[in-house]
Amino acid sequence: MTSQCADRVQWTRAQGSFVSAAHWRRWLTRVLVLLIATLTSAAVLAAPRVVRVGVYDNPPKIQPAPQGQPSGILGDLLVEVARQEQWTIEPVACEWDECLRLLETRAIDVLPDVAYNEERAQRFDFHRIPALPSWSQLYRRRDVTLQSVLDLDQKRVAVLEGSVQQSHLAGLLTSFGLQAELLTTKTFEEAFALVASGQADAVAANRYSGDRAAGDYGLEATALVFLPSKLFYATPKGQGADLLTAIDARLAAWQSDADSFYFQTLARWGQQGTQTRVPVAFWWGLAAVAGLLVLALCFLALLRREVARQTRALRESEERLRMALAAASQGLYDLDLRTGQAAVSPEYATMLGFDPQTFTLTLNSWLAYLHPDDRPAVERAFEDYVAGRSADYRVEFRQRTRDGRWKWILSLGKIQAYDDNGRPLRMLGTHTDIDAIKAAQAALLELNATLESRVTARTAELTAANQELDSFVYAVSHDLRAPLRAMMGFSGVLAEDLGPALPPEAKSHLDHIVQAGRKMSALVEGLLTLSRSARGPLQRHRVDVSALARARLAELAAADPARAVAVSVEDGLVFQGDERLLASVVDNLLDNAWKYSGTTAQAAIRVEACEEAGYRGFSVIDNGAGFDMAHTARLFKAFQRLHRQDEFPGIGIGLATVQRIVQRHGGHVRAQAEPGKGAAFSVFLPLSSAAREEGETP
Amino acid sequence: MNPGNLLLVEDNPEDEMLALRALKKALPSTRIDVARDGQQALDYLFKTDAFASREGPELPAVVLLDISLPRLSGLEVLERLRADPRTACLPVVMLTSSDEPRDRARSYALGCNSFVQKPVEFAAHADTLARLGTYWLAINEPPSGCAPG
Repeated sequence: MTSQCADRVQWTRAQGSFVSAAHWRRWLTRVLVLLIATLTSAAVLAAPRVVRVGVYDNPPKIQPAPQGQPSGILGDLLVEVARQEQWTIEPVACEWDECLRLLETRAIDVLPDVAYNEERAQRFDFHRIPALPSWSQLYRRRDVTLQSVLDLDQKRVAVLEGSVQQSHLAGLLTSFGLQAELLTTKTFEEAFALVASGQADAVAANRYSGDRAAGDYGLEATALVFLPSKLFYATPKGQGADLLTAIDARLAAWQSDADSFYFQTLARWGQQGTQTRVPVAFWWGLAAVAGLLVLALCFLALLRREVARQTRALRESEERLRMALAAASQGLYDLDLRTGQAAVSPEYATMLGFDPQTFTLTLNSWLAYLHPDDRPAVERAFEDYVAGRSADYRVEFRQRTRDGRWKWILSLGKIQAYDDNGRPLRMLGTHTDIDAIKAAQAALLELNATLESRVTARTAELTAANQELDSFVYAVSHDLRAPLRAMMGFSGVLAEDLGPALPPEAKSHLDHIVQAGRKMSALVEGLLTLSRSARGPLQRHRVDVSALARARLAELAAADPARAVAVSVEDGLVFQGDERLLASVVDNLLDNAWKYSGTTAQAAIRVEACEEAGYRGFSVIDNGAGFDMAHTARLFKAFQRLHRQDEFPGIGIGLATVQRIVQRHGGHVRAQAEPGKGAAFSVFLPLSSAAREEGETP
Repeated sequence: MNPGNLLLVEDNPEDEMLALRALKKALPSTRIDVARDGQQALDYLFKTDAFASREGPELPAVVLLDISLPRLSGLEVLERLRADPRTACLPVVMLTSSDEPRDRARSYALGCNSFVQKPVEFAAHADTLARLGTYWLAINEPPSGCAPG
């Protein structure tokens, strides 16, 4: 502060012309002051005036002298005015708050050192010419950081109770949304003492008292200056106009004369540097500048805070991007299409084994890094994209790494800027390391290739095995039938030629040979059917099971006219499948139903539709011998029978054939039976192979 | 009445005996010749080799041809017959143990006139052969002057 005051002195002394102009004005005002003083003293002599003055302790502006008389800058000035006006001063000692109340209740006539504001103008009267310009300032302990208003957040600030600083600071904190505690005190000393003892962080005071006390308490003035104010003498509302007029008259005279009592008083109280040679208006200007500075500082602090926040957000965002790129094995490039210069992210370089600090890239050096086999296609794709012939740029290529190996890269890019003529300026994009993906792809391709050859080999083996089985079955059909035919044929010849002459016993033996031959013949046919049902391509046609069932039942009835069987076949049992094989299914099921209902009094056979989720089919139901469901597992196995030959003859191949055929069609067979009550066999075919009657074209 | 004879091509002696028995019962006056393998059948029909100076008509009224034969199979014999203008229209009945669909399809494709499976049962077998013989020799009209494309 002191050095600043010294600077001001030098500045003002440098203005030589200004000083000499003021010199002339000074002589004029002295004459005026003398005239006014003479006139007013005459008026006052007529009625000596007792003036009760509120004196409180706020050095250097106002303070009680040892006898209680007002002292300090404003005290001395008032005493001088009183001397010239021949008022008798009656000091009333009070503290600030109390002084204001005394003034309001007219217990005192005048109170020095009252800052003017609208609110106070309602309660008190003020003279016109400010007695002392002032502003408020914050003072801090040395260990407290207080550079901007925002630093007040969470601080404790001491203020004089009822002071303009208190109300102003409260408003300031609210408008900035800051949480600070205002500690009020009765006197300035108390306020400064609170900060010095650490009970408060800062103190707000007017600059006169503050500068003085700061030195005493070891506090430092901050740059936080606020509330430029004008200090006046105040009188009770509507009372003391004569006092105010006299004060104004004196001040007007004094303030225009640099050597006046006014400036001598200021100098005496330590404010000489600031006031001696400078016009009062300068201080108002300075205060206004200070106010603007405070606003600017606040704005700057806000701006700085916002910039810091944005910077932090940007840094975090960049960090995230960098981490994401690293995690995805991706590098960035930024290519200047006019110069061919490229800027790349560190990941781009490290991906290829280069040091990011020293790695540089141009369009041409990049092309030179490409695998010769990939380069033509990549160059073409790049040129096509840059020339606008293709909408996207997305290429895969091998790029040479620092140690001379090849690495698979997926490169994407997009032109981000064009000049006024629509020529591309800048292209941004990513490089992704797809080496691992490529390796996996290659391995997969190789695996697929070997898999295919393995499948081919296995298919060939299976085909060979099938052909072998085919020729076996073919041989069986031929070679077993011939001896059978011979056995049965010559038995027949014997019976035919010698029939009547044969003894009954011989005839019975012949019959047994024929029966055995028949059974063997049935076995051979059954085996052939079973074998055929499993091989050969499946022909899919529209198969009318209703018609097949009716035909088979007619054959059975014709072959066994003695039996009366009630038959019913549902219409419209039409499916997609191999007609020969499905006919075999129908024949086998109906043959069984016919056979096992042979001993039932009122035999009945039904063929009807059945269905379950995803399947449709038909059931063959009889009321014959049935079987125990416990044996179902053996039911569909070849050569397994649930009945004795003397009960129901058979070879045990029919149901095995049925099941194999239905399974080849993607369906399944279910059996439901009860001994003595009958059996139901249901064939379920997948819906895709079921054709609806009405949907069929004839 | 067809004045021609009948050629049975059969390698199995039991089958031959049973077939001859049935045929002779049905066609007592018809001459029945037998070839025991494919090559013999061709030699007989084209009068070559052992059959170069055989007697009787140039060609039989019908050939009953087994499929499974030594040396040349029945299907090969059929193929050669159809390929030769002299026998291109000669009635040939495939008489076989096989009921394989592919044998049947192949036989018809090569131009057989009939395909019959030999029944295993004695009675059925005798009946089938009697009816075959009667049909081809007593009912069927033979081709006169065959001009195959």
